[in-house]
Amino acid sequence: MTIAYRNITKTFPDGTTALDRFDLAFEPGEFVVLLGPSGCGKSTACRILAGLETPTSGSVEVGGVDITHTPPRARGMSMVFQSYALYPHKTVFENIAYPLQVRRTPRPEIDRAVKEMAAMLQIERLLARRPRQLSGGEAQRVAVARALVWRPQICLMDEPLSNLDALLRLKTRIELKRLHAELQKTFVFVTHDQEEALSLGTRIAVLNRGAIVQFGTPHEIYHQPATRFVAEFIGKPAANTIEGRIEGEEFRAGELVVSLAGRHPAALVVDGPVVLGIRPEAVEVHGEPEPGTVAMTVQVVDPVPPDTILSLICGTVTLLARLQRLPDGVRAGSIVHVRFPEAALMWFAAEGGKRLD
Amino acid sequence: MGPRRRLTHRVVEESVRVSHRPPQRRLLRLAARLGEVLADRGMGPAFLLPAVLLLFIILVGPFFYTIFLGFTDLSYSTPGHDGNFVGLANYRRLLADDPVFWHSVATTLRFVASSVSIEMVLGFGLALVLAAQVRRPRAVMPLLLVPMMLAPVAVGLLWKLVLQGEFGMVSYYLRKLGLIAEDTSLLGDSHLALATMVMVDIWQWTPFVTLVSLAGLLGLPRPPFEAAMMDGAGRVRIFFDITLPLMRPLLAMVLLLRTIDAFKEFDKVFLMTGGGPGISTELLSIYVYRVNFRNWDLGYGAVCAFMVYLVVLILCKLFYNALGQAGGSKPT
Amino acid sequence: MSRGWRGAGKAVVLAAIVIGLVPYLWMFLTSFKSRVDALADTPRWVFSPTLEPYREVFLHKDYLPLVWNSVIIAVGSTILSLVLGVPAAYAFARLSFKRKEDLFFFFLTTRMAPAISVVVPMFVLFNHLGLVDTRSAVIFAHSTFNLSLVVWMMRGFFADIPAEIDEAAMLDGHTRAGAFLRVILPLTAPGVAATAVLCFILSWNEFLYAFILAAFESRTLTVGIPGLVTPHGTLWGQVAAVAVVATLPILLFTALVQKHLVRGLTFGAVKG
Repeated sequence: MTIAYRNITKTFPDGTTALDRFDLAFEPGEFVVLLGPSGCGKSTACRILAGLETPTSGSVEVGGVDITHTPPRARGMSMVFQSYALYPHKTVFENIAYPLQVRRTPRPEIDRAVKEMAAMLQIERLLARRPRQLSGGEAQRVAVARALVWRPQICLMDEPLSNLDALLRLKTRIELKRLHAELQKTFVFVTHDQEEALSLGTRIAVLNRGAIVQFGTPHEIYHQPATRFVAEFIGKPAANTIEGRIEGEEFRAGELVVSLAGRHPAALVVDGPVVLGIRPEAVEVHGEPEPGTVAMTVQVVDPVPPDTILSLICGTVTLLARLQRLPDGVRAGSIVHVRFPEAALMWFAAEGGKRLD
Repeated sequence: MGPRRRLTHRVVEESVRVSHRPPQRRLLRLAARLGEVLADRGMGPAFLLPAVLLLFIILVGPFFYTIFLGFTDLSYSTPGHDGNFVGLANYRRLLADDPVFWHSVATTLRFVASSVSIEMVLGFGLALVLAAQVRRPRAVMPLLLVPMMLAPVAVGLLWKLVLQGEFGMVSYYLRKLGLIAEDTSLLGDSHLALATMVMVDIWQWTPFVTLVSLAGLLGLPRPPFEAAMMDGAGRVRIFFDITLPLMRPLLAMVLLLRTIDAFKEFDKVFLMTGGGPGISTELLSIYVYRVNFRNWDLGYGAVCAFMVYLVVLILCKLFYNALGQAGGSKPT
Repeated sequence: MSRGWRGAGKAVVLAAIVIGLVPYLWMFLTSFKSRVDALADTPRWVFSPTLEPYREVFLHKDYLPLVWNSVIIAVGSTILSLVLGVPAAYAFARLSFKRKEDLFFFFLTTRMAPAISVVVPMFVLFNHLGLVDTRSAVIFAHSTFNLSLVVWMMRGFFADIPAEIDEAAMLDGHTRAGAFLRVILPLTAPGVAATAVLCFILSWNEFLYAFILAAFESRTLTVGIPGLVTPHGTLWGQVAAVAVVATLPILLFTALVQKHLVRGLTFGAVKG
């Protein structure tokens, strides 16, 4: 029952290409996240799976069956919209009941299912209200309830948390994880928030400009980014990337010189332009000079309790470092001594950004 | 000193410099201050009063005058009836002694019911077709609007021309298609005239219903429709469960608007048949016209006119409520 | 969507357009027909056109002044309604005061007031004042509905502009009235234009008030139409010519105002 996008291309009448040879497959029961910046095509991919858009070329399959031209109502999928899309003229109860009503479920069964769903999402007291009387968070839960009440095999969610405030977003995220575990259905979740993606997904598909850049578990995406783009998109703050050249045993980027004595992997292009990547939390910052460190000046000290983020500069190169403990006396303007541990280094091609190591 | 006061202060300083006379200074400053206050706080009354005043003089005054007239026997055609007070005589005559008035009421009700109901169905249906089947419906609308933009009198003239017994274009083709008999005159037959009038009204005003319905349909939010598709609903289901309920407030408002206007119908009927043949097409407004401006029975005519006003006023209140439901320009 | 249905839909729309336009087209053609062509037994779609009806009615029958009357009255009524109505609309949009809703409803009733009910006392009053058969009488009469149209329509346009812009203008040094005149009004210029055109159209097309209050010297084109339709024979070419002149300009104006037509006709309920 694999769900698959096979070589999907989607161009719109105005000429924009939303998806370009988009190819993705996943198994039922997964919580798949489509992650990417705005305009990357993630919403379009979701809508094509739903049947609300048809691809210009390529096909969509479920369990080997081509469903590219099947109407939405015959696909066994439901959707939670970013704007919730509740029926303004129906009560909350009627909203949630609608998919069951359409499928001619008997009245007592509808009653039971709606109440059960409402209890699961803690919105029982809202059942008699109308959408315009609900807050954002409440409306969102109603939308989720409506999407899950008839137990579809696949539930699609198009940026459902984007319109909620930060606190609510966090709370609802946890609820969605719980629901997924309880109902054991396939969830496909679209978001631009990488933190959300890492938290929710069993596997994450990172998109850029209509194509999948990497598809893997949160761990893989975080620790083994396939391209520079992924490294720069994931993380809070995201990974540092420094453009420079390898010359002999050194990596040079302007005034910044990192000694590579006996360290670089064989696949690296020797003596050529390359991009060095390192995550802020992997950067070691010392107050005193130590062997293998480079001197850098602190520009900004940004406290994010319990950690501290330092914005460092050396010549034209800027870096972010995330420290659990700030060395004594370090303030804006101080000189610190930075080491880039070998194990945390990531190397990307100067052209195209593909991971080299 | 705030920016506003700086402005007026400068104006005052200028005028003072020009005037050269110290005693004037205080007066000018006062005048400037007064102007400023008026321009600020006096805005409400100053802006509203002229309009309200004009309407009071043109409408409200005459309205009360109508009520007053209704208690007199004023008539330009009967000597001695110069407006003497006659109490409720006119009202008694209306309620007990004027079958023609009540006939015109019945005729008007039949006219309104038939034309408005058919216009709503045809107009909304056409809007649905436009919204669903035509790529750029708004580009097509101007072509459809012509009938409703013509002066109603001209509409009457137009149809009188094409429905002429002998050489009217439409009568000719209707006869050729076998839809009417050789010797029927649509406007000259007391059994057919009112139906013909209804048909002309439908021709004239269906575009209005189409125009407004289309605007409403195109303004409906998309997400609930997509949600319904995901929830499993087919096209027919979506129409009855989503489209119609969401369109209901607007359709109610259009219905009331057409009802009020159809109730007041005068121009084209006046020109086409003048109320005839006999009184088969004598709508209320035509009857009131006849009483007031043919018979010049102005006292009694005022009562008739007042009755029409009353009905419209009630419909107006209903319309105002429907407008609020449909999201109209009600003050917040 | 299946091809068949699409075709049927387009056919329906086409039929509606044809049904709407053909009768008007016929009248238009009739206005260029000689008497023989106009009264022919079988409808003549092909004929040799002549300007005779136009010449006859506008020059020989002296109907040209009617056009002038229509213009004066329509323009006059529009200006009067705008000058009084626009500020009133602004007040409704920006201020809140007691009974605001009731006052707004009052404006609605004036727009809906049945002409036949209003014109009776109006006629008697104007008769006393010696204003019968003057253009001013009709201008005032038309302001009953035009003034309210302006208030309702402009209120919507003003409400569309956020109040913050007024406030910014006042912080920049304007008085409230100044903010209105110098900042807000220019912003709503397209709305004012559309409202003005709609007022013109409604006044131009109006019949009853003009008929009762100005039946001779100050008659408008619309009033002139029934005069040519008599029981003992109507000169169809000529009366069609009058009707064409009475309607064609309006059709052109409609194209100008089409965008705001829906808003004006539905009292702002639908923005179109």
